[in-house]
Amino acid sequence: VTSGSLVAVTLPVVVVSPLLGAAATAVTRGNARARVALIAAVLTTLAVAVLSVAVLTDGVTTLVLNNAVGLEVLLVADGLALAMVTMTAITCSVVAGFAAAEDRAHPETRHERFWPVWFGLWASLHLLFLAGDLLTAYLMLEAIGIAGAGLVTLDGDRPTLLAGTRYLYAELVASTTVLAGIALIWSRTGSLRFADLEPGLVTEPGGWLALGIVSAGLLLKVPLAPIHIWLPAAHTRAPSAVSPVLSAVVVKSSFAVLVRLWFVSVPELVTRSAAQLLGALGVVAIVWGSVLALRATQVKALIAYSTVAQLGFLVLLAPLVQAGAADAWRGGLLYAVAHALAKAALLMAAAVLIENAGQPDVDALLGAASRRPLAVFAVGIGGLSLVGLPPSGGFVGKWYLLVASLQTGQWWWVAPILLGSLLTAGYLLRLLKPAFATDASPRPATSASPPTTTSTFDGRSGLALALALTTLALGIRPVEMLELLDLGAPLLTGGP
Amino acid sequence: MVPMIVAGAIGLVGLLVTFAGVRVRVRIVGLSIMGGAAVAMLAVAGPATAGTWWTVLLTAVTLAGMMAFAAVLSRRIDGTAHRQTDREPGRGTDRAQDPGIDEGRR
Repeated sequence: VTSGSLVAVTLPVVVVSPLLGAAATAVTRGNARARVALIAAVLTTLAVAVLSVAVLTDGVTTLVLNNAVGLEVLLVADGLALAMVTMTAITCSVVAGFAAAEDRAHPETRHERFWPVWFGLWASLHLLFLAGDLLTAYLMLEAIGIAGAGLVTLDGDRPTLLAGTRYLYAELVASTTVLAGIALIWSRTGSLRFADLEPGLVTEPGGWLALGIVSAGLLLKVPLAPIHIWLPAAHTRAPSAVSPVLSAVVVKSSFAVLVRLWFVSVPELVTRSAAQLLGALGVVAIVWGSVLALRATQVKALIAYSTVAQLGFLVLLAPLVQAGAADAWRGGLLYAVAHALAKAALLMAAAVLIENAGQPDVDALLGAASRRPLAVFAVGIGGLSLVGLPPSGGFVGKWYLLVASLQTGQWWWVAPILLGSLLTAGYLLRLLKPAFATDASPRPATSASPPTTTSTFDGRSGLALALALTTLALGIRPVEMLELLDLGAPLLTGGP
Repeated sequence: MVPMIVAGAIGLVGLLVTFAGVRVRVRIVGLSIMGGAAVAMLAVAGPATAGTWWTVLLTAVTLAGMMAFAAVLSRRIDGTAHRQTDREPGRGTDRAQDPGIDEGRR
């Protein structure tokens, strides 16, 4: 990269900016802290926007940062990285606004460590997605695990601590597995840069074993059913400003590393049977997560199980990309972005609806549309994208996956995609149906946390709706995101 | 290659201890064995340069941080269990519905 170019300047800024946010919010107090957080969030998002435009103009960019002791950090700004960073910036900045509004609405629940840990998580996510070597990616996965578990357990009642501890244990088992695999890769290739792995891993014996061990650890971190046990409790028990980021963005961190490793770094080592197996696990996740979501009695649990199911759609890109379908690359990753925006909107709206109802049950949403119309509208729009109906980003992503299935002759993925979409509609209607029903009965007297906001149109609902509307914008005009995803894509020259 | 295989075998033992362990302390020991073995594998995998040693140190510190955090959370869980028992001594049913990590494995 040319030193002094716009990309060379903004690439480090994208990582450093949230770190500065962490430092600034650590030293400020009271209401000033939320204002500082919002400024840092806006500046970080602007830096990401400038970087994306610069890379769209200049093409894929690599930046090597060396230090005196011989450690190097390689940053790669390609389509995959920038799509994920853009998704993170949009989601985190809107959720930061939501958290600041929560600070104002419920100052008694304000936690001293929230904002610094939150920005630490954000910086780790950016560095992970931009990492050009396995070691940096691994260290950032560790940082994300610590920050994620830290945010889940900020409010320390016993069930929350249990959920956070299980989350951390799963992260630890996954991390040590990934680390063992990375050591094997290093011993085979002599390098940890993604771009340098293929020759060593393909020619040296044991390359497939090293890739398999790293992949197993990453799949546990994603997590993909049937090893998803820790996810629903952690995402359900997390504070309302944390669940959206965990369910929308954090679950994509290991997924992005897996995709980069399999299809950008060592595509020759990924066999058809391995890719088909991953696709089959995706189908298991879709069905398993959907059935659990259909049976869930609490709003956040329903949405958390929906995350388990939606992660299944994402890994369906594996067998299709392995077969050479460029559309699967575009569709799978665009769906990942659309899912993040919709899921974060859903969880923010759910927090408002649960607070208004005074209890977390789905049945308690009776008549919510008249009390919190913006939040229910956000659930509807976000749900549109998760189901995959036009004109949402979810529709475009699923459409590309369906086209890729037919292009590659792998018609057997069509049924799970369509069935999964129907199941998604089924469990999301469980939220909307009571919300639009008439609430003839008196409000429950067992209200755990009675509403403190009396306005029907509160700011948090507006933010949830704004984020939900971005999924529509992504569906109406997906061109820029698709152009971004084509940058550095592995298979565009070798389609079916 | 032999040191790596030995370290890998030790890591597998750690994995077994982690999953077979009933008590939190045993599981943290299992995770520590796994982590130590993985770091040892990393140490023997790279060339003998300062960069490798810094890499190993950084990785070990990060893993140790996660282990320490897991231990702190476990202690906090124990603390909440004692507080709950002190306040509401008769609520055995709540404990049954909300099993701790130890209880949940039995």
